[in-house]
Amino acid sequence: MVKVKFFGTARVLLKDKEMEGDFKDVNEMVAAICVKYNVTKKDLKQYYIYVNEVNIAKLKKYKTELKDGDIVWLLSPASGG
Amino acid sequence: MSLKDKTVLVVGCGGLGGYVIQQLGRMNLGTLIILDGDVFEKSNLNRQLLCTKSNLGISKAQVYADFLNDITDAKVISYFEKLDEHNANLINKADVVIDCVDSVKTRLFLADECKKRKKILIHAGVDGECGQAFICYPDKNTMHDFYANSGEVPHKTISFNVGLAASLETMLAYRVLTNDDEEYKGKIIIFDLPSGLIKVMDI
Repeated sequence: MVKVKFFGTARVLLKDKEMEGDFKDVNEMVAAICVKYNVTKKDLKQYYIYVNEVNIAKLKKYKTELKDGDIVWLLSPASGG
Repeated sequence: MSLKDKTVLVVGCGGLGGYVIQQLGRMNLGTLIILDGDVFEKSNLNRQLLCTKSNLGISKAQVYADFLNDITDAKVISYFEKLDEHNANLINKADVVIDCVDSVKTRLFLADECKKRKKILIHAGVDGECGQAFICYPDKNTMHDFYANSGEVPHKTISFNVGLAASLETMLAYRVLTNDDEEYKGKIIIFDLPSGLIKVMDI
């Protein structure tokens, strides 16, 4: 199972702290979040995603493969001051 | 060079700026330049360090300049102005610039102006009980990359979270000013208090 943790405004939007599931890659995980929490991919676009503490921008982005035991973080860029 | 020879520019004297200015004021710096075009408003009472009922309607920059002159012998220069293309040259005077603004648009403008002048910019942003801090070096596009997919969204600001972010921001400024910033190059400090997360990661 892959564990997905929601931080910041992602937790507020999804009204949940985390979810678990089996996903082939980040794309599939995002699709699963959209179905489970009734949000769109556009809603999630603002969040940045880390897989095992590495930004997916430095991996294969949304094609980053996921495997059993991986931990994914959805983080929101905070802009207040 | 010691801290006494250094000049720091703080852009914004709101939530982050108030705490950052107070901390910098106790660091024995040479010159502190502060900039803010706003006056204190009632809505600032919940988080801004020197926002008091008796200060409502008064220039934030002026109030913090008076406060600094009361706690430090550093040269204090304050501007009751918003940062824009007319006063961006102030950045030239600074060894380090600190982003204490509250909008993505102003942050990106500030990052561009610092990059043009090859100045290091320290960033922090807050929302609710989470936020982040990092150093923007002039050879990178860290601020633009970070906010690439996010527009202006309404944000909540809470005093203890603002204080935490400001302390991290001051710490990063201190690291840069003392040439001890190696471990924060290419890194982001992320914090999310409800989940107990404070982490330094690759950005």
